[in-house]
Amino acid sequence: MADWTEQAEQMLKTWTEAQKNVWDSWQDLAGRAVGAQPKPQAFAMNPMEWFQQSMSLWTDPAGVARDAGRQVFGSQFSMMRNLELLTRAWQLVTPRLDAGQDWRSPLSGFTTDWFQQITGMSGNMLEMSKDTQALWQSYLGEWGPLLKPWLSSAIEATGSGHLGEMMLGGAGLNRLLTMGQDDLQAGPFAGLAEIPSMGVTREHQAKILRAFDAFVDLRKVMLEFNKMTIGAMNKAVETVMEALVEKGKTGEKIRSVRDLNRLWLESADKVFTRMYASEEYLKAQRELSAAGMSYKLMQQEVVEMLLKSLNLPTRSELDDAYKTLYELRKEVKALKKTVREQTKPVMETPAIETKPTAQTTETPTIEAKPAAQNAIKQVETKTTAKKVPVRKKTAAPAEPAS
Amino acid sequence: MLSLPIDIQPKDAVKEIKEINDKITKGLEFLSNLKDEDVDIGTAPKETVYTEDKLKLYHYLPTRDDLLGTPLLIVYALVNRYLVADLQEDRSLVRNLVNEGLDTYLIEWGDPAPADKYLTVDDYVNGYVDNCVDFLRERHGVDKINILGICQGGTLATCYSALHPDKVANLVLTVTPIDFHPGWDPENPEIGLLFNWGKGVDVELMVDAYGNVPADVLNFTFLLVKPFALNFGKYHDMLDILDNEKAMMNFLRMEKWLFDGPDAAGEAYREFVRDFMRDNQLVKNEKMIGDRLVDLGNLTMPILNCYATADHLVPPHCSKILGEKAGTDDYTEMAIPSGHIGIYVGGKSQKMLAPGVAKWLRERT
Repeated sequence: MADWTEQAEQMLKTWTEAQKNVWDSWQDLAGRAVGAQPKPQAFAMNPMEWFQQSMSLWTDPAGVARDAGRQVFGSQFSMMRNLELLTRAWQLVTPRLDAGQDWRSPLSGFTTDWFQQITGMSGNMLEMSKDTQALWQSYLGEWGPLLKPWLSSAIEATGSGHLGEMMLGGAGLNRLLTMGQDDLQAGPFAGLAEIPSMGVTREHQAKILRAFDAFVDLRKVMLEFNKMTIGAMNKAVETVMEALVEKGKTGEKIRSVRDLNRLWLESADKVFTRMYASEEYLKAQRELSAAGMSYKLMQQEVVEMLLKSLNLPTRSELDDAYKTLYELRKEVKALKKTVREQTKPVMETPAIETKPTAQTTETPTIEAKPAAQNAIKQVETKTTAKKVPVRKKTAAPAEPAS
Repeated sequence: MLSLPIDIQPKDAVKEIKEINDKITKGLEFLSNLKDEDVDIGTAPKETVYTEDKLKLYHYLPTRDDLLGTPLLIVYALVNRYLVADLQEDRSLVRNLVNEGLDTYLIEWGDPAPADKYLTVDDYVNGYVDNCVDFLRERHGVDKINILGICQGGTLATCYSALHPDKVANLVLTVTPIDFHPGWDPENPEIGLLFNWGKGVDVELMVDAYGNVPADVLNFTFLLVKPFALNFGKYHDMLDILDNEKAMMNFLRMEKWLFDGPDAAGEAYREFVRDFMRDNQLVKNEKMIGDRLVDLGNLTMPILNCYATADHLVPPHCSKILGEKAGTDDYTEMAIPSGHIGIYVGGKSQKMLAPGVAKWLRERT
């Protein structure tokens, strides 16, 4: 038993050390490329950020090459992480397999922890609901200074360690406490905006609280969606383990990190694609999308309120202007078309003939020999036309041009 | 006892990592000398012959004398850019068409700005496309022109041809969705997945929230279909070509095309997702554009319908259904053994698609 555990550990160690050589080379490369470069120690803190800084120094900052380079580099990280994940998972699975015990449940727990650690997701819904202040602060974090005029009392209340019951009341708390539970629709989820408020800022506060409602709803469906994603990740790891077990039985070996990685990517894609086609996923996707869009719309309402207070044009006002512009443009085009039809000369003018040019790879693209504002003007009008005969034929058989 | 099937020996790991390291070093030295403009796409010689709002009508300069008399207008989709039809010199549908002696024009829609958010499918079909067609009819002194539609552009071209059959001599469609409800094959769940997602999206809310739908949102949706292969797998595979400049340039051109799409005009997007994808009105002969019904029975012109046999975005049967619905008695199908994008950029299809289209058109002109 210790045999393969040792082997797995040794393999991970070897790979990690070898990979470290890559990073060292990268730093050398960065040093050669430019004088100024991100500090090497930054790499240890956050390799991806370090890499991005380096690449932006070497290449066109907006370039596709930089993006591709970043992706390659990122793929090395994911390859290493996948190797570790699969090796650790295998270490967990095999003793249970050998003993004829259930291995799927412990594997599921392991992979859930693994992905939560990687993504920084909190799997425990109630952990979050215990900390309603954090959620409220997080929401205010987006708006705090801007909303101060309307929410000063609430911000003070939150800052002092109280949630500001005058705004959130029991309804808000319940809403958060039930996050992640199945009977979401049945609970006392009266919208926060329905809590009566008073005074001249009432309407403003109502908008802000409606946005908070949408913010909470979005977090709620995101957690559901994430649970589903982690479930699919678990399933993907399980699928790879099954494939490895089969290989173990037949003595087939995976001899390179890239081959192992390929097995992982293919298995994961299959699991995810299957999930995508399920009704459960489609529902979760619909809800996530709707919650995201609703929150965006609520955000816009709050922004409009702020813009109005500063006497700046709002999106609604701009939309009105766009609509007017669109309608006017259509009308002008229709009028021009009518005028053109009415003023068409009876005399024919010759049609433009296209002269062939030699094809050469060096020929520069001829761009915008600017057509007239309305290009119809550019070409002398002509009414005739040589008739193009339309031949009727019986349907031809499928013609695979292979 | 099970043996560990992962048998990566230390010496093999060292060798593998060294190889990867060498490739990355070489590849990144190459990448670091590149500017964005070095990754050149859309280079076939062309001139702009007509503009309207943000639209440009390109004319590709002919390379031979025996041009087909009837011009060919390519109608591209409203998502992504036309550049996939002219990705690079040796993988270019437009170059191939031009070299086949077709007088080729292409509509570039341009990037919708917020002020374009109210554009509808009617504006695109009965406005822009119709104006380009009229322009070409006048320019060439013909009553009818040939139209070639690309993907969603094929759907628009189909609608246009059904509404204006008097102006279309021949209709060529490539990977064009007509039936947007592909069903679900449990063995191949990725087939038609985008259409199935589209049905469920609350597009009303989406367009209300965004106005124009950002290209990044559209891209993200495409990438989600195969998240691991498309976000990681292909970059792992890129290791194999990092030290091959030609292959790297090809890869980068495709990346540039993929991630440089325009936003989608809000109202047209709403209408397309709702009426075409969700309600499947086109194939049911229920779609109204402007105040007119799009009746596929009005498609009386010869039709060449080209589909990709391994297309998971527009499964072949979603295109081929047109054969049963169109009113023409001259209907031909051409199967290209490729995927949705491969039909334009794949090595094999360079020798099949444009020559097949040209041959078919010449037989009818």
